[in-house]
Amino acid sequence: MIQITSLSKSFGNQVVLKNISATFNTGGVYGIVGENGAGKTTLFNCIAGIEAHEGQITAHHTPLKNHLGFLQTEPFFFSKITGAEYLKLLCRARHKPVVQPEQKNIFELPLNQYATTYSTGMKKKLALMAILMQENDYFILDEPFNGVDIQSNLLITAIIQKLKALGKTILISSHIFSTLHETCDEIYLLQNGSFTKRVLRADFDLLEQEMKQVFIGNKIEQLALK
Amino acid sequence: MNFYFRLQFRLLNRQIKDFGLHPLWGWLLGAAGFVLLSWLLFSKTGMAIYLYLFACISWLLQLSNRSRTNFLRITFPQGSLRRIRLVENAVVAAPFVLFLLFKQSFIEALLLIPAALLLSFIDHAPRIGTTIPTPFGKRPFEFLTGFRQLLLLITATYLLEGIGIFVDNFNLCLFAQAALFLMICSFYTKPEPLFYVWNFAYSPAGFLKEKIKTAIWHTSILTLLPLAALLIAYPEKWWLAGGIQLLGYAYIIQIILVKYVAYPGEIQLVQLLIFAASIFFPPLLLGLIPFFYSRSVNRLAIYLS
Repeated sequence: MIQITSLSKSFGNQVVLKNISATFNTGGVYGIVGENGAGKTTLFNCIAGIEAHEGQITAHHTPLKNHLGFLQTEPFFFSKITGAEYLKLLCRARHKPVVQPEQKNIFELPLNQYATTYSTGMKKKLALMAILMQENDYFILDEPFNGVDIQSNLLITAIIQKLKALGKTILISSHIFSTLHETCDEIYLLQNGSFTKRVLRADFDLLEQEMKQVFIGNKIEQLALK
Repeated sequence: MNFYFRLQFRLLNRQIKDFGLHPLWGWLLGAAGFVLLSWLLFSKTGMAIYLYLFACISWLLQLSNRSRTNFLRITFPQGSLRRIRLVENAVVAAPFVLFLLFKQSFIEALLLIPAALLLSFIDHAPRIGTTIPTPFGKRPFEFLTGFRQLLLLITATYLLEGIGIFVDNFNLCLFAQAALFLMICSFYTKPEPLFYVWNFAYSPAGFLKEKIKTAIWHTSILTLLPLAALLIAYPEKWWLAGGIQLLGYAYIIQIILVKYVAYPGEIQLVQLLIFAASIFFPPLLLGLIPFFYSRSVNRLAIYLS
């Protein structure tokens, strides 16, 4: 479980997160949605302990950062490091042995090639594989479906469901609503630095409709496309 | 095209400012450093001319980097692209040519000019497609990436030491050994993204200990061959070769600590100057290493628990 209490974060005068509180239970999958710049990545960085913040974040397994797998929106890879070496680096960082990466290579990545030569989707899959091999208890998946092919999207969805069954706590952000619909137990709507809505699975369709009305509105007419 | 160069100049000035210097001082110090290093190189070895040309061409090939030239190609019309590449290469080659003229190496200087201009027509620097094997795979990442990036230069230092032994020039061997240690230090000069430090389930002290242990082990592997050759060729000077080796370890430890003092920012000019001062006066290391150690532990405590 991850408990967030009165979390606030500012960069200079700009308030990015305002007094956020939430509880993410063990075995729960939570979607975080919001427009670009709503504060999703900052929220994830605060939970991970990368950003200093006001308020409290507690978890069963402490320190949280040592039990957290963080898939970033755009994972960074050093030049001239192979996929296999990247996996080794991240496993070593958590004192985990790298057990037969080839056998676990379900995305069929060319692990002996330099990671910088991978496509966007392959990089994402490699980064995901690494945090799965770390055997974490908590996961933050920032845009896990971005740039990934349809087949792998199906696989990632199945992985999330398996992680849930194993009792892991998972936070996901995605701009593709259908992917959240399939995987999440609850969705939090982040607007202007605050959670403005918490929606349970039964009401996901309503949320989607509402978001369409609010975010699309008459903006297409406003464009005056010709 | 003019805007492109004005923009490049502005970007360079920003980098100098980020380094903690006024741009004017940056340019002056850069020029002075270039002249000093060139002078040192030429005063140490008769092979300097080849190393000098090698360094210039390596730099020019960096400008032919695939993603960079692809960007230029999709951004500028063909004519402007050619002019940009020609001017860039001329600007990079100019200081090398001037110094060669000063050293009265007229033929080399005159050969370098057309070579630099011709290299501007290479739009894709040769890229080694296959993965270069290294003995550092068990503990990624600095030596893995550094070794692969500087493979040619590392080989050059091995060759230089071989030449030194062959022509019976012990100083040249020491110069090559010191150059190798400087290259290893360069593996640690750029801060890695925060994600990579954050991932470690170590205390700050444990993290630094692990980094230093790995660095010493990998440095030993990389320097074993030239050190052994030196000891075999000059057994009576074992104390000097061994001394340089030990000092090399100390400088590598120091640069690791310096890197994490400023982390996640770049290494600051003051710290770099202190590092340089310790090269000229090694006893400083005795105070600097514990000092930088405590500063880097404090710094890393923000990200590691």
